[in-house]
Amino acid sequence: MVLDVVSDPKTFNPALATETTSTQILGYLFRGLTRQSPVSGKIKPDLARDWKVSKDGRKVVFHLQSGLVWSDGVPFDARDVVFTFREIYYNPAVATAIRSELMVDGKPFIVERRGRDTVIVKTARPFAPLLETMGVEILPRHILEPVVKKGRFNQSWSVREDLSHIVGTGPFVLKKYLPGQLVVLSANPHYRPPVGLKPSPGCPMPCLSRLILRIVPNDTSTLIRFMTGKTDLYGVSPQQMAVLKPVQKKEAFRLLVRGPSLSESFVTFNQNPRAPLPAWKIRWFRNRLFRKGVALSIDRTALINIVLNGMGEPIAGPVPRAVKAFFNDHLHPFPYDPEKARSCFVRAGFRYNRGRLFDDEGHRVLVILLTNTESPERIQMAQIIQANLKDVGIKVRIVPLQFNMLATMVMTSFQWEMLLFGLTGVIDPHGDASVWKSSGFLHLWNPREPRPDQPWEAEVDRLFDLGDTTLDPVARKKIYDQWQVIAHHEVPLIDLVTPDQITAVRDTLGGIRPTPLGGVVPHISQVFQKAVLAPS
Amino acid sequence: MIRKILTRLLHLAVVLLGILFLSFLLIHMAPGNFLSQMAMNPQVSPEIIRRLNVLYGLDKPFYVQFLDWIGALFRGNLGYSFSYHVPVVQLLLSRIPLTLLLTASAVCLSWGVALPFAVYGASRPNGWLDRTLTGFSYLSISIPSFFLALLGVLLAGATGWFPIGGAHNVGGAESGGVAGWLDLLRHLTLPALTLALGSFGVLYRLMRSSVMEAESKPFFAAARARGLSPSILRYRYLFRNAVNPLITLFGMELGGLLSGAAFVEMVYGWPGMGRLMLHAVLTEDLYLVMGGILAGSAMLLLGNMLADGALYLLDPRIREEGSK
Amino acid sequence: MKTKKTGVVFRRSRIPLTILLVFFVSGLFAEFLAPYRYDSVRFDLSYMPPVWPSVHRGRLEVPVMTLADPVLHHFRRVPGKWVPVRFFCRGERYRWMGLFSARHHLFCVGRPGRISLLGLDLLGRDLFSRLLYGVRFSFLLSFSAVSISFFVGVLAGLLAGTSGGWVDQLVMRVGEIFMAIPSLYLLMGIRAVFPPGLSTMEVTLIVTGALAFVGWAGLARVVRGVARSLREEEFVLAARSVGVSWWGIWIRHILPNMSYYLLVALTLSIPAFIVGEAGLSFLGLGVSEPHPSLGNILAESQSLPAMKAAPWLLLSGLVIVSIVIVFNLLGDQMRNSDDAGKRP
Repeated sequence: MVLDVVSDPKTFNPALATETTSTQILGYLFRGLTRQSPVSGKIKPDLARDWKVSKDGRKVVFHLQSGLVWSDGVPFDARDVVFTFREIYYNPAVATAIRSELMVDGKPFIVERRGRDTVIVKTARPFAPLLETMGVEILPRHILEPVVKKGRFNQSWSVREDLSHIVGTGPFVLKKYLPGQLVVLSANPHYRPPVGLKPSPGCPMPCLSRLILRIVPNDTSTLIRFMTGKTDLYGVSPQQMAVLKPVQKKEAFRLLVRGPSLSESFVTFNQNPRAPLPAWKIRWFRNRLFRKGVALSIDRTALINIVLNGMGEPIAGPVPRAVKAFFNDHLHPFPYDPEKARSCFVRAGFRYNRGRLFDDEGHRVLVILLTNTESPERIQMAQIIQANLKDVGIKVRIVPLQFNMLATMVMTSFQWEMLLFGLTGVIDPHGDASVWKSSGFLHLWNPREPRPDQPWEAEVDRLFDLGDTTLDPVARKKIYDQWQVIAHHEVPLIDLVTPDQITAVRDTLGGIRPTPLGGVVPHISQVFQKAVLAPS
Repeated sequence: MIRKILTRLLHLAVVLLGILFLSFLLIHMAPGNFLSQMAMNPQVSPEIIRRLNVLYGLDKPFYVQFLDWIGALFRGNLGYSFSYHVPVVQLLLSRIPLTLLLTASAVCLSWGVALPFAVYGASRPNGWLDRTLTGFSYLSISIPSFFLALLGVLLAGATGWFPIGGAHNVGGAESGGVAGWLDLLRHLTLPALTLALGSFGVLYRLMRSSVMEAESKPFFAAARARGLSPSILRYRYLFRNAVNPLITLFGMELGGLLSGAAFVEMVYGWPGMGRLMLHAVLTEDLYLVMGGILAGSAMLLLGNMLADGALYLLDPRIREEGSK
Repeated sequence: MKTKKTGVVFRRSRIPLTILLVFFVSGLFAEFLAPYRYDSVRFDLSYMPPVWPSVHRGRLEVPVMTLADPVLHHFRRVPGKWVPVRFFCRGERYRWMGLFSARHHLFCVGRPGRISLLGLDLLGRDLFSRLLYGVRFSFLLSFSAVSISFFVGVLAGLLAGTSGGWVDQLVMRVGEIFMAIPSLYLLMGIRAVFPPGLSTMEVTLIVTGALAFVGWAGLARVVRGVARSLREEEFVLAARSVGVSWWGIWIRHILPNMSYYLLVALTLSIPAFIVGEAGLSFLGLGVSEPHPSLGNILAESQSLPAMKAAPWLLLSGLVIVSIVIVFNLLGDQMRNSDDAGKRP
């Protein structure tokens, strides 16, 4: 199978990888104790055969699958798991970003082993997303222990490493890497699939003997490569549908539309009293009716028709509709209603003068909208929003910035008024804590509040803490439902639209099934290449 | 003479230091650093970012970072790339050969075609060939290189004659021998052609005009009056006199060898320096950018020095002045 | 003699000069000539193909169009609905060059119709109008960048070439420093010094300044090369020996002698800046939307889906090509007439 990736892998070290190409490749090479089903979002066994959660929810006992072997032939056991957590993820000298996910109230989990195939994980308090976080990659002790001891872990397993030293338990091993050109993976002969995963008919696991990833950084080039049969799988953007749809039959591929994506795009206003902005502007932004008015002025149908080529849907709140386990289906996206929006502004204390909006002190409502230049879609959306808000009397000036610059202004200097941004969705709402808890660093509209600034924020904090410690799924859903209602009512983030997920798949590829939460490949080891059809 | 060369080398060192300092300053003036892109990732806490800042030495004041880096440079260490966790030298060395292959073949191609045509075109200005080539060079000047590259990709897609992406096939790099070279050549053709086409226009116009300028000088008329045959006239007198701006131009082309192909590399997926640097610049991968600037500016200064040297040897007027 | 030469230039280059003038005037009066503002959007008419007026019911009228398929961007006429084309009419309000407020346009049509001579872009903005504004932006950008870099470049080159010694060394070394710093960083660094929330006009000026900053050094180098080789020519020596100052020699002898090169360089640099800005737009660093430049309109059309849905956006490329050709023709003919003036 051949795929295109947009950039070089930056490292082959799962603890250090932060960007998507590296994590994609490493996903084929490494496994965790658990994995999440892309179909249902349920936690499934991976390196662990099964597990048992204690009554008080503070202890989980994992039983490892027996007979597991690293790709260099050395047996895998519980010592590897303990080593990975203690010496790598929790080692302060290791430059890993994963650590923050493996903390409860700022404290690490306690990871112990009993014998060779039992691992015990303890937490200070019940932690609902624990099983999900146990999906982090487990690394080989026999290779990395000397490296950690020498203090060279941060430079280890770089892209210049001898590939045979990079040892995992995943279905594939690294075969070859030509910088800037390609990465070749081949089947791991020692691979043992997780419990409960069925092999494809007439095939060992993994079925593919080779996986080739070509590094091509340009959209047009990758699109043409797919259309001319050079690649087998292609993530299609809505705009590309018009090009691909007519040639489906001729080029022998299928277009699989998997419904709305997990990503969330939104505009938000700076409500931070510490921000270096005129006081009256912060007063507007802290006014719920003002935010609601803006939410009602945005024409989401136009956003979808123009920016997403008609393939997407408006979003109602912070939980993606695809995440059925947590989505509150009583909520609906804001309608496009400029008339109601105007009355909202008037109720909020604003005045109209010849179609232009002024606040009660006579300031013209003029807002600077920041967004990042890397994404043409966002700049297009910004322009549509600009036109929409002009209709209700608000003047918007768009300032596109490089991502690094934007991040500094929003996160460090707080020097922004309105922001158009997006976040990749998470499946478990726990992952939204950094955005929604008032102490969260990504609580964009007012980051890292010492204590909740507004009553509803205190309530959201309480719900998140409760959600973390509640283990019963039904009760958890209720808690997060409440949070979504508050989010919809207070509109700190004005949700926009999300694109449909579309993948183009060559007809010769088998083991493909669209999943709502993670692509069209339920498990990479089941994918197989059909017999090449005779040319007709 | 030796003293001259030594002073020149000293100047070179000063310039290089100036370049490095100014670039370092500029990178620091741009808000944020390599780690700020993580700041808006919900999975990465500010605690981690603070720790990484310390680990990468990005918390130190600007001048300390610069002096540290320069100090390491003298010990032959260009620092580590933040995103690749690899010594910068290794990264650069892995990309430089293929970039040089691409740009050098493009320069050979464009000069090899443009130079003879320009001499010919200048001898028959406004002849049909000159007009055609002039029209062609207009097109070449006016089409941005990224667009030309896109057209190339479309062509490759429509015809299937050329592969798109990379410099080798999967088995190509180590197959060696004739098959390996042919594979490389097939990948090289389109990008090199695109680059050459893009620079042909400027080259043709500048060469033609410098040849014509030389032609208009009095000595040329004198030589013609002496009854020298046209071909001797053209290649001995004319060429040697037109060569002055050409050498300067060639020196500049040398300087662009490492960085001049970024757009083309990006569109064709050619695994070169330009692409690496573009990405490094956009993500503020500090030491990788500095390493790239060092390599690029060294190339540029080298080109300029070679051009000056060649001028010194070829142009008697400059030589006389120098010996005074 | 001078006037005669200028006259020759004008006579000889009538065609390119006229075309240039047309571009110039259309850029200058973009607000009036364009039926719509550059940021006038119609979300219901995304990527509508050109719709030309035709004679209908004895008047010049435009059919009203409606979107039939949003994914494939197919449009159809609304049967029986036409709107008349009016001239010197009152349309969208604008401020001419940011100075005078007015709402007169050369031609316009009433809603819901939309006159689109060259098609609409993704946001339903009129390409014809945007090209007019784009010509202005691109010209402004390249003219100011070229004049800055030529002024600095020629001055520095002459200074270095004629004085020699440490001045020469200093100027050339500084030039080398500027040439070697990647312009991308220069751009980002310079932008960072200014506060955000600048208007596009101001950002454009910064882009210009940064481009010019890099541009001068290459020219200075060439000018210096020529100046140095001319330094020892008989006529310069002769002038020097009768006590003419270096300034006088520069202006009276060296500059005219270099006019070949300068002219060619000038006619190449103006379009080069326009093309260079397109490259920056490709990276998202050029003139930023919604303001149009020839470069960012072209960059917008670079993806395969855009090329398929709205091939007319490529027209900006055609405008760039024609501007380049016009400048080059102009340079050629100026040189030819210069030759004619000098040769016996």
